[in-house]
Parts: sequence; C-alpha cells; structure tokens
Amino acid sequence: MWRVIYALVFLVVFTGCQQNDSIKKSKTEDSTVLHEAEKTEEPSSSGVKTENTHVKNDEPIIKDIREKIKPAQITIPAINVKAQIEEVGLLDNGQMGVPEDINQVGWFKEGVMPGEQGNAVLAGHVDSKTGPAIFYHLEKLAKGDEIIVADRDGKSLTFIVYDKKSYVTESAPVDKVFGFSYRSQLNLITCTGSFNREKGTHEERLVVYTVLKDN
Amino acid sequence: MKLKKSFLAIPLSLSLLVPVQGAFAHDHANHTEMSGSEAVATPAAELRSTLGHLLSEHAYLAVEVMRNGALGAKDFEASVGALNENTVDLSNAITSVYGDEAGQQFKQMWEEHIGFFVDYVTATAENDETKKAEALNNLDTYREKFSQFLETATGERLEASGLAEGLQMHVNQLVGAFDSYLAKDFNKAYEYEREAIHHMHMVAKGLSNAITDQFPEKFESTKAVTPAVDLRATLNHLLTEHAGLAVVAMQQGADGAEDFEAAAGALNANTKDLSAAIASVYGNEAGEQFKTMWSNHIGFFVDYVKATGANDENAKKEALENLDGYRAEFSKFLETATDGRLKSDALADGLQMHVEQLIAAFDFYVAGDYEKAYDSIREAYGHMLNPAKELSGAFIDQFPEKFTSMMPDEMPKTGMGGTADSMMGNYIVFGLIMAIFASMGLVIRKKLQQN
Repeated sequence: MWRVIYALVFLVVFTGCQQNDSIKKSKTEDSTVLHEAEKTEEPSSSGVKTENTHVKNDEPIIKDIREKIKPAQITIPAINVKAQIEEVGLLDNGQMGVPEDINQVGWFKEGVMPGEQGNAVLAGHVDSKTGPAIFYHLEKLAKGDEIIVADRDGKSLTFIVYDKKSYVTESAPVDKVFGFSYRSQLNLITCTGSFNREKGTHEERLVVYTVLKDN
Repeated sequence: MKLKKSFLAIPLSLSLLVPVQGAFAHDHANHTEMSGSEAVATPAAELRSTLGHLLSEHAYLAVEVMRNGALGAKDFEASVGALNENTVDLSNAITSVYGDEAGQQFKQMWEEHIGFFVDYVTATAENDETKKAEALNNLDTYREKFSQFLETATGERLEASGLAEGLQMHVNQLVGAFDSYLAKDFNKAYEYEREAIHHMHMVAKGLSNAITDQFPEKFESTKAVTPAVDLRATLNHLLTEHAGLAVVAMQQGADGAEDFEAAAGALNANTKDLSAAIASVYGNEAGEQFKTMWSNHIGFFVDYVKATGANDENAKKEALENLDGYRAEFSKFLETATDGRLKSDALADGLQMHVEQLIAAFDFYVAGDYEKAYDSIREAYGHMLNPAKELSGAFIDQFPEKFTSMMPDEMPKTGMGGTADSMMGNYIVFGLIMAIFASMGLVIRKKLQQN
C-alpha cells in the first residue's frame, strides 16, 4: 500500500540507487533535483492521466521471431535453377534420403524448416546416369549469391551463400550440416568429385552454406 | 556405421550398471541407446542447463531490479545485490570453459551492460533526456562488445555474431520491460519479463552448442542440442520461471501493488505452458489433470499470502496443510504417470523444499529482511533444476521413441555418375581396354597409310 504515490516512488528508488555503489552509475544527481522531480510528478499520483504514465502503446514486444516456411520451390538465379521441392526423410541405413526426380530438390523433413533456428537441409542430384541433374552447377555458387525458397502459397525467404566446401563423403561433418545453429541457416548438398563405380556413389559431397538474409 | 553402433552397445550397457562419465565418449552419442536419465545428464546437457539457469536468472533478476526501480520498492538494493551475485556465478561458469582471462573479460563486459541499464533507469527518474539518450546509445552499441568477446572466445565461430545480436535483443527487451512499467502497461511488462527469460534460454542453447562444438573433448563429444536435452531445457525454463514468478506474485500480492493482477496472469501463463509440455508427453487428459493440481497449489500459496496480510495465523496454518496435501497427491500423480520411474517419497521431499523456499522468500520479504529474501529466491529458482532433470530423465526413459534423434549418420547419395570421371573398378579396366584398342587402331591405320 505504501507505493500508491507515484512521485514518492521515484524519490525512494533513486535515492536507493544512489546509495548503492555496487553498480556502475554516474554521480550527478542531487537531492534538490529529485525533489523537483517529485513535484512535477505529483499530478499523476492523483489519478489524472498524463501522457507519460498511462498511455499504452500497441506495438508488439521485441521478440526473436523466426518466420519459417515449408519449402515447395527453390530458385537460384546465379546458376539458373528453378525447381520444385519434394520431402525426403531418413533412410534405414542412416543416410539422408534423396529426391526421386533428378530435376527436383529434396528437403530433409526430419530437420528444421527453412527460416527456423538451426540448419535446414536441401539436397539435389548433380547428375543422373546419363547426364547433368538439377544441382549440376551448384559448385559455381559463390559467397553472396542468393537462394530463394518459397512455400506453396508463394511466401518466400531469401538466403545468402556464406561458404562452400567439399568433403570426402565418409568424413563430412554431419553435425555441422544437420545440427543446431543459432542463426537460421539453409545448407544445400550435392555430390562432387570422382564417381566410384564400385560403391556406386561419388567420392565427395559438396555443401553450400547459406544464412537467412536480414530484413 | 551400423557395425560401429553394435560395437558401442557393449560399453554402453555396462554403463547402465556403473554410471561412468566416460561412457558418453564416442562419436554417436545421440544415436545409441542411453537411458533417459543418461541422455539428459551428458556433459553437454549439464553445460546448457547451467548456462540456461544463470542467463535466465540474470534476465529475471534484472527485471526485478527494474520493477523495483520503477515502483520504488524497498528491496531495490537487495535485488541489485542478487543480480551481482548472479554475475559472479555466470562469470565463473564462463571461466570454467574459457579460462581466467576470458572469465574476467566477461565479468567486466557483463557488469558494464548492467551499469548502462541502471544509468537508463536513473536518468529516467531524473527526467534527464540527455543522460537517457546517452545510456540508450551505450546500450545500443553494446552489440560490438558482445561480438568482440564472443568472437574471441568462440575462436571466430560464425555463431558469434548471431549470439551477440541475441544478447543485444536481451538488452532491448529489458528496456522495453522498463518502459512498459513506467507507462503502467503491466501486462506488457510481464509479457516482456517472460519473453526476456525465454530469450535467455535460447541464447544458452546457442552458446552451449557453440562451446561444445568448439571443445568436443571437454564434453566427451556429447551434444547440447538433442531432443532429450531440449526436453530438460524446456522443463528447466518453465519450472525455474514458475518459482521466479510465484515469488513476484506473492510479493506484489502482499503489497497490494498495482501490477499484482498482471503478475498473477504471468504465473498462470507459465502454468499453461507447463501443462502443455506435460500434455506433449502424456496426452491432453493428463495435461489437464496436471494443470488442475498445479493451479491448486498456486491457490494455496495465494491463501497463505492473504492470511499473512490479514494476520490470520489459523488461515496460514490451513494453507500450509493444504500444501502438504497437494504434495502427497501430486507426487502420487507423477509416480503413476511415470510408471514408478519417479518415486513419490523423493518427489514429496523435493516439493517440500520448493514450498519452504517460497514461503521463506515471502516471509523474509514481509519481515523486511530483503537480503535473506533474495537468497531464498535464488535458491528457489535454482532448486527447480532438480525436478526438471528428474522428470525429463523419467519421461524419456518411458517414451524413448518420442525423443530419438533423427539426424542422419551419412550424407545423401545425390548423384548417379552420368557426368563424373570414373576412377576405380571395372570401368577403369574397360577404359584401359578401350585405350589399347584405340592405340591399336592408330597403329593399324598408320600401317595402312604407310602401305
């Protein structure tokens, strides 16, 4: 009940504040200033609404909101790619699945969605048995290039390439590509290097790392 | 990879009998079958839990300081003292990872940002617009300091910039909370408080992820972000927040403060989130049951507060007896839900401590012993990490399939070789034969030409 009077409130607090030397503050205030402050604040204590005290603003609070989308289409202007996205999961052997259609891109649905905090992953074939596939030119991407991902309703997010690396398939950093990250990232995977006919797969994987563009 | 897994199954099954820390040290900690209690207690999980505890407590106490400042509460100094104690604990945690020098740097940086914030509170009180602008400017440019520190500490990991932005948002949220208090928009102020707490758990998630990535050997290659650790972190968040908001609601209730309803609203919002977390594991019906019991125990605390205000010793006693009854009922509920994985006796003891800490925080507050009140508050806040750990361990043990990591072991097979160079196997032999034929052809052709 002792804090009904708003003005008093100010006096008490800031005197308390002043006495406390365990926190950093400047030492310019003096008691007369505080008394004046008390007087000027007086009207608000009588229940009269003033501009400073009772006005509510309707602005939403500051919040780390990550807009995420279920990806349906990908556009990469730098290498002239425009493709539909299909969902892929985890294979029994522990591998990430791949798109059935070599001209489509697969989104790893067990991971995060593009825009969400963490690493969303898209994979596309570099080639078919006979010729180039959707991510054939992925290796040409350079830092700063844009990747645009859109959902079925056309809502889109833009990601910027920040790194590109090739790894020997067995020693690729799966945690880095699929694991958590504070930033909202999107990683694109395809094959690269020589094709090992015995293993039936390329010797290396190319990962293009991108991060959500600031609005 | 398959071979490796079955090979690892031997030391792991041994570790179930003898819990050895080293049992976590292998490549695929998240894929192998750890028990629930092991999965939530990996070195990486402990790091995330510690950082989540201290960073969120920082946000909580900073809002307390701000509220006390805005409302002119008598416990202002004690709240500042508690915030400073938190800074010491946080710096020690950073030191344990990055060493003394970095720990000192962190402490300095952290104290500085608190200082700027206090400058802002002070300048607002003095109606000193110049000083206010200066403080805001200092706070606004703090991103760089955070950035520098984090970049050096994390070995220039890319996450540093994102984390620095996260810390800057923390500062902005506190300013937002303070401004809402001054504008007497209490609902928004409490919305900010909850978001500021939640946000710090996100920072803790990112930071612990970056640290364990940087020093895998220190954390036995375990991961700070797995479905199991996420559950523990969620319960850490909501249970510690419950204790924190309960204290605030009790204090504001005792004072008949203007923001009491908003404080009670925040506590109820927390109960809702907590019930949703329970429902996500046990279904909606259990979630509702949980919510009823949980709300009841909050009601008994409110009774205690009212009785204190009315100086009614009998009513106080009754409220405490009701809390006793709740302890028994709630412990049984959890023992049944977890199929005996949690023992009601142990749970009841833990709950007793929770009740005692909250009552102590409140009684000290009413008696005007603010330092002791804040000691109890910090204790109550930290205590909730225990039930969070036990509950998450038991839940995961009971429903392991709900908490399996879906991270792949291997990269996808994104090519069929139609455009690539061959280098091994039959195709090399085939190529060689073709080459021989070709050269033979050349020889034949030359011979023909010569003829």
